Amino acid sequence: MKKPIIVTRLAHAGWLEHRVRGLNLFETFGADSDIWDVISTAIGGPRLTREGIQTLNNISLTMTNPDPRIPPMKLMRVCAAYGGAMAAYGGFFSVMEDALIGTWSFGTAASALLELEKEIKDIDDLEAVTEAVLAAVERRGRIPGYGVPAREKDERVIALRRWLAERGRAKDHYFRLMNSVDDIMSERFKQSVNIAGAGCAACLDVGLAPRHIHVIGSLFGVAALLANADEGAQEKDQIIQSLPDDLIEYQGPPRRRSPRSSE
Amino acid sequence: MSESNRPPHDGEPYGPGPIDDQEWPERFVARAVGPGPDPTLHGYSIFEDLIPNYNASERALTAFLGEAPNEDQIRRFDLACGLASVVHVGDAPVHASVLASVVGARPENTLGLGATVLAEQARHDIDRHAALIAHFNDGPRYTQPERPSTSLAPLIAGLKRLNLESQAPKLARSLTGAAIALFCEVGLTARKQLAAALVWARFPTLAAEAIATSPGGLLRYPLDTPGYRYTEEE
Repeated sequence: MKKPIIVTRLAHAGWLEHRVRGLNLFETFGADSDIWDVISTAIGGPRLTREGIQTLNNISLTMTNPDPRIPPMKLMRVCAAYGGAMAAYGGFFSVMEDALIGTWSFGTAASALLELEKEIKDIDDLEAVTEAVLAAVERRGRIPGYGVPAREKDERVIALRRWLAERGRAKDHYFRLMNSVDDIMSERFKQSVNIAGAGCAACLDVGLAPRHIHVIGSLFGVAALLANADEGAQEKDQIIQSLPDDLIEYQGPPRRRSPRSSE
Repeated sequence: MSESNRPPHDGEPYGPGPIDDQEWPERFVARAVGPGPDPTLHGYSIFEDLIPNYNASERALTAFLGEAPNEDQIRRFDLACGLASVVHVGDAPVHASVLASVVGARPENTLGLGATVLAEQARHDIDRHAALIAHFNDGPRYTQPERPSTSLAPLIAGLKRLNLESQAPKLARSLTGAAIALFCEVGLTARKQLAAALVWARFPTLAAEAIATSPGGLLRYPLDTPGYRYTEEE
C-alpha cells in the first residue's frame, strides 16, 4: 500500500532553515522579532505590526491575575495537586475549547461583534448601533462579551482602555464599535463589557479573525495559569488531593439496595 | 534563499531536512491489539473468544495482564477494582471534572480531564506504595505496619466472601494500598499495568459524578473552599 500523505500548509523542517507558511523562519524572524508575530503567522493569521504586538501584550497583561481562587486558576491547581505541572497545564487546555469561562470566549465574542457589525452601516451612528444591539439581544438573549460577574465593571477592561488610549489605539474601528455597544448594554441591560468583549475588539483591530482569536487567546492568561500549575505542583496540597468528607454535602439518590443485594 | 530550502518545482517537496533524509519505518508496530475484521487482543479473538467468554471487566484484565486470567485472578481483580473505585467530588480527579463543568467545558472534555487527573492520582499512589510494590517485584522486604488499619474492613469482608487468601491485610495501611497489593497478586506489577488498573477502577465512579453534574452554576460552587490566604512572608 502506498504511504498516505497529508497536505499541510504549515511548515517543512529543513537542516539549517525551516519553511513556515511560505516564509523562511530564521531569515524572516530575527533578533528583534516578537513571538506573537511568529504565532500569528504560524496559525495562518496576519504578520503583525509593532502596534499589533503591543496590543496583544496589553491584553495579556490584563489577564495576569493568578489568584488561585479565580475559576480557571483553581482548576489548574486541582489538576496540579499530585505534582504534575505539565499534566495540569495540558489537561487544563483540553477543556477550554467552547468553555463559557476562559479565553475561548474571546473568539466567540469576536464572532458576535462581527455579526453585529453586519447590521450597522455606520458604526458612529449611535441610533443604528442601538437598533442592532437591541435586535441582537432580542434574538439571542445576550451578546457574548458583555456581563461582568461579581462586580459592576471589569477592572481588566479599565486597564486595557487606559493602555490602548495611551498608545492612540482606543479609536480603532472595532474598539470604537465595542465602546458604543458597551454604552448601550450597560445602560439598558446592566451588562457592561468584559475582557473577552473588549479584548476581542482589540484583536479584530490587529487584523486577527475569530478563529485565530480563539486559538491565540489561549496564551493571554498563560502567565497566571503557568504560575498556578507551578505552585500547585510544588505544594502538592493534600487538602486539594482529597477534601475531608465533612466538606461534602451529598444530594444524590437516597441509600437503597440493588436488585442483587442479598441482605 | 538558503540551499536547504529551495522552492518546490515539478512535484519535488521542500527540503531536504533531517526528517526527509532519515530512513523511517513506514508501518506501525502493534504489540497487543491485532487489527482487521477479526481483531485480536494478545492473540485472542475479540469477537469469537473474548466477548462470548469474558465480561467487560475480565477483558480489561486480559488487556492489562497480557493473558486471559484464571478465576482466582478474576475475583482478586474484581475485589481490587471495587476497593480502589471510591473517588468522590472531594478527590482531585472528580473535583477537576466537576469544576470543568462549572466553567462550561464540553461534556466529553470534562471526562477527558478527569481521566488525566486520575492518571496523576495513580502515579501518586504508585509512588506512595513503592515499597509495597517492590515486595512483589523484588522479594518480601516490605516492613509490615505494626497495627492493621481499621479502614480495611471492606477488604477483609471481600476476601472472606470470595474465599481468597491474600497478603493484602498484612501489607496494606489503606484500601488503596490493599487494592494495589491485590493487583500485584494478580500479576499487575509494572507501573503502566498498575496505573491502567487504577484508572480503570476509578473512571466509572468519576464518570457518575460528571454525568450527574450540570454545566455552569458558578455561584453554587464553593469557589473559596479550601480558602487561599495570600502572604508575602518567606
